[in-house]
Amino acid sequence: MTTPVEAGWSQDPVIRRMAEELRSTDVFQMLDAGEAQHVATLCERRLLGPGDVLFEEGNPALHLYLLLRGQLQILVRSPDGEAQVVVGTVGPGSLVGEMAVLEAVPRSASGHAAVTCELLQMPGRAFAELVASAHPAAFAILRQLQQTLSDRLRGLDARIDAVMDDGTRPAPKPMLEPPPQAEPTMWHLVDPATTDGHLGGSGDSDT
Amino acid sequence: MIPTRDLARIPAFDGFDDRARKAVGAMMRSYAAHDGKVVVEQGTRSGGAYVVLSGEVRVVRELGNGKSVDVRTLMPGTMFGLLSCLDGGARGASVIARGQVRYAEIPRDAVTELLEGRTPVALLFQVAVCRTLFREVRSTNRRLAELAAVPDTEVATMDLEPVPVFDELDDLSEDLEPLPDL
Repeated sequence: MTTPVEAGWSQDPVIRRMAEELRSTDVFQMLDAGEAQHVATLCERRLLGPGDVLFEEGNPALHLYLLLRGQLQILVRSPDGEAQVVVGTVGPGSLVGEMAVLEAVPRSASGHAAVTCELLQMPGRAFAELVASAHPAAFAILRQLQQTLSDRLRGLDARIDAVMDDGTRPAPKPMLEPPPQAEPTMWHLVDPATTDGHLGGSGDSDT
Repeated sequence: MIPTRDLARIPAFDGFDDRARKAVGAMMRSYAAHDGKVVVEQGTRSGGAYVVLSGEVRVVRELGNGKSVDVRTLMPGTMFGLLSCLDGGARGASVIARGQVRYAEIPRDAVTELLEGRTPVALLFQVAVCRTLFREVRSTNRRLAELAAVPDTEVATMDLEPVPVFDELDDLSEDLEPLPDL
């Protein structure tokens, strides 16, 4: 006996599962089945073990990521280049690197798996195509981006007040661009023209 | 209304086609401001989003201790005043004309319409907003690092280098529509 497939849902179990995972996040919950499945076809699943590097500071950013499970550490190199300092963590449901197709600058920090992590990654070029076609997922990503950037700017105002108000001059902690809602997120900019358009495989072309 | 040819020269609106420029330009009103004119006042919630058309504006944050800090200088082509439109919060800083300035306002209801819209024009505007906010984060970050390294007594008199939010942009003061009185 076969199970009837819900209207609009793919019969490809891999795509269907990814689409369901997308819709389980705050960012993409408003997508309908067809829209989520379209986004799912643009993504590939990534699994990282503790300590694995997702992306490295200074490298070109080729993908954006949706963290499904686990926790990413965000690190920046110290001014002397000798050490890496953890400046934040990213939790499940977080988007990382949405600015990738909007700007073209290298990664401003590194992302390492603090624990076992499961992510969906999307090439910058695919994101650019979502934007170009005014896909609902593009609106969702941009809305998230606006929110996190707004939060970061409000946070920066508070940091300026803190630095200036008390007469002290503590070295400011590096801030990521842009950050997360509750916790610092890593943001990066990718030049779509430099993306490889690679949708499959397990290699990390960002590192 | 701002002519589409002028919007075509504003980096924040890169990627806009003529249709999008026309739609957004129709929402904008241009103004002139003299040196020292407060375009946006910290702590208020009125007004919309703005674009510097010519001249420079200073972004100044007043602190709780009565001091004020120049956060950055905005050059022609830069959008500002977005944050309050996005989150409904109070203006985080004042924006003050340095010399003669021309700027355009997108009224708040129009900004809201574009931010909540699902049209291609709305999407382009939302991309522009993200780009602007991102650059603002970067420039403010740099400013924060500078402030942290400067003795307290020197902060108020620091001569700021304009933040190159955008590359050089031609003066857009020509061909503007007649200005309303301020």
